[in-house]
Amino acid sequence: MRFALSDDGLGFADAVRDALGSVAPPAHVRRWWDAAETSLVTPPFTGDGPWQALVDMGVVSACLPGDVGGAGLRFVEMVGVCEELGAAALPEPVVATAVVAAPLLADLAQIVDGVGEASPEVVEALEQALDDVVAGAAAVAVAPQDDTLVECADAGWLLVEADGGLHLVDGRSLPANALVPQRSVDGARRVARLDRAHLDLSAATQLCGTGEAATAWVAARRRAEVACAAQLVGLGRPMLALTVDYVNQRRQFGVPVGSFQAVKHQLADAALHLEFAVPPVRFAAAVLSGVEGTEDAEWGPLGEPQVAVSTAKAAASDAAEQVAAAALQCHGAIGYTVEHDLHLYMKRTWALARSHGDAATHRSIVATHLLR
Amino acid sequence: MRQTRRVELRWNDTERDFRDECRSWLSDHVPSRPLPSGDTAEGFAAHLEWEQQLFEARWAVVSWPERYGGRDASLWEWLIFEEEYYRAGAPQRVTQNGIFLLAPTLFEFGTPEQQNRFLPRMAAAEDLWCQGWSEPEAGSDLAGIRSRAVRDEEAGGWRLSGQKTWTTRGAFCTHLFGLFRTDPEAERHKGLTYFMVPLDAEGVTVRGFGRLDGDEGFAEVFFDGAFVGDDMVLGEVDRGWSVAMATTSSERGLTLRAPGRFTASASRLVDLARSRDGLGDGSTERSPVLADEVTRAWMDAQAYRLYTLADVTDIVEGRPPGARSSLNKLWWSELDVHIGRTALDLLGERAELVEGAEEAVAGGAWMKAYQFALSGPIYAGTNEIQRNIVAERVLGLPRR
Repeated sequence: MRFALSDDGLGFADAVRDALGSVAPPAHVRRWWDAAETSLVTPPFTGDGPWQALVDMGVVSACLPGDVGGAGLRFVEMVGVCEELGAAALPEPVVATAVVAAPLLADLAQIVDGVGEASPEVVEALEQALDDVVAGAAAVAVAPQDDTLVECADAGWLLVEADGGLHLVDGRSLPANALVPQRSVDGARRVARLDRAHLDLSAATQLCGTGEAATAWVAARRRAEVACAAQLVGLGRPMLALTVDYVNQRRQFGVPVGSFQAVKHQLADAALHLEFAVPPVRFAAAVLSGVEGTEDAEWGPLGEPQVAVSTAKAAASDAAEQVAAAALQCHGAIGYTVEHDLHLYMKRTWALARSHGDAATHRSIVATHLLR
Repeated sequence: MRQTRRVELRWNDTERDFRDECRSWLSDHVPSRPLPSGDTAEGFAAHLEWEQQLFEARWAVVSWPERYGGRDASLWEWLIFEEEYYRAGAPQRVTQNGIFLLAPTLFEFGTPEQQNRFLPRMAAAEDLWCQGWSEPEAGSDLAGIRSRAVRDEEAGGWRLSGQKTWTTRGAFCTHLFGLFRTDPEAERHKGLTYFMVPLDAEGVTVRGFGRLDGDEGFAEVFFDGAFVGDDMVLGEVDRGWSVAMATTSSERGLTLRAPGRFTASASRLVDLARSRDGLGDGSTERSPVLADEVTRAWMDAQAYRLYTLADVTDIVEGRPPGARSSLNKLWWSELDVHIGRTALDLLGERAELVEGAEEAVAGGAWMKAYQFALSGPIYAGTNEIQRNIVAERVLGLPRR
């Protein structure tokens, strides 16, 4: 038994944190906010920006198998990285591409190869999409089945489920109105509504039937849920750290406000819930990666993948929101401004807490498993 | 070159064998009907018999060295034991204040003579230890202790005077461990000494009184010039605070409250929800709100289980939790109250029925458990104090 990040996973997360510290400070997040003032188009990824830095570090392609140019990392080795990407409130769609879409592309490539019924055009597109991930030439988005938002409005490639088939669509030549950007409370987020009626889906874009890819599709959805949870616990850390700094230095009644118990207890509670949300998130990642031992009957219902995933997402959503609320309250009026960085993290938290299922929805999934 | 460490969620063969052995012994020996409460005179005797049975089969103190009746079990095996123990519905441990709180301190600070003298009798439930921290004027503010120990050079020891209170099971125990002021001039944390005291010594009076949950296990203990020898001092004279702190961190953290206890309670809560005494079939539709509360409680218990696995990994790899043990205490104590309250909500109007009422569900055990749980946020340092500790020592907020 050893329940901690692996040395590789921890080393990778530390390296990502260090890199983001210089290439993705809050000022970088603010540039995305500023760009949204005029247009919701994703700002271009520049050579000195975080996207390229993470491509160079091998983060974007880390979960692809070695034979297509990736590092073959399992999701569990990337969960610490997802926490760090969350902690930086990184606007670039790295999580969506690296841990959700890229391994799904690789799974689909195998399925398509096995079934052997896909059109030459889409087989070629799939190869191109994989190459693009390795080169960092494009982000890839997975469009969920229902009317949920697509988290990556200007993805180079789009995986879409429609009418019993899985389709791969070139995001750079989408028909007008197919993907409609939506303004988010978080000015650094680029979400869009997908209108399937405006997509040109055909046999030429279909990779396989949904049934053939069902396992891979569900696995991708679950990775998205846990990766979102990991970003949420990551977001909690800078919010807590900013607040601890602030209440140590802000003085009222002649003393630092952090010396008042009313402030201490709020922050202690926030820290408590944040600390206890981390293990469920990392455990869920281990279950999804099939880490040896997770199949043991001793885990009980927690060993069922969806229960582990929903437990993680519910805990992370609630914890991050609690930290956000305590952080705002303990900052007082300064936190209620857009000049202070707190809102960058807080608004991302509000969005992610409900993205990929809010806490109550995930608890009801667990409830169904426990009480059915 | 150091080997690369991976995530591993598999119990090894030794641990699996340990679990099997433990499970099969418990299934053969756990009394089929719950014992009467260990915090009543009648129940205490029944619990002593159970403790002796555990000791004879070497299950009383699994993590201790073999020479004291243990199995040299690793922390991982200890977690497994606790999980199996509570899953089997085995009796509460009336010896716990000795084996979980005093013993770790004896291992750390005791002389070999003290260890040999006290540990085996403690393991065999021949000596029963209660904790003497609180005083009428020193609860959360433990450093406000006024009980004194005055040097008796001629007799080669100390004369104790003063009063301890809220002493759990004090009315049934044979010995007490606690802090006494040995340097009356010293301020607060200084000048305190850790003593072990036989309760049958001349000059010691124990008066039991009733507790919230109806049991009579609480006691106040009066010292009126009671004599103890130098061999009853644990650690150095006037350095009792740091010795005591070693014990209180055991109490807040892992050793007193293994997750097995709460995962077992949470599973019983889920069973209750599904049963006809709870919501019955289709629980989630019948009362989505209650189903949600049950789910929260279950998830929080799982979070504690996973947090503990991470904690033990840290301890094993040389990253001790320190003040973070206060996070543990906050979590398990509030989780326990939540489990209890949710069970009462499931039972509805029958929640108030207690042992002896025909209509009581499970002999009123849930109300009993709830009342016991309510002590959690109070003892071992109130949760208000724990929140201060988290804020000051984990987060780094200013003390004043």
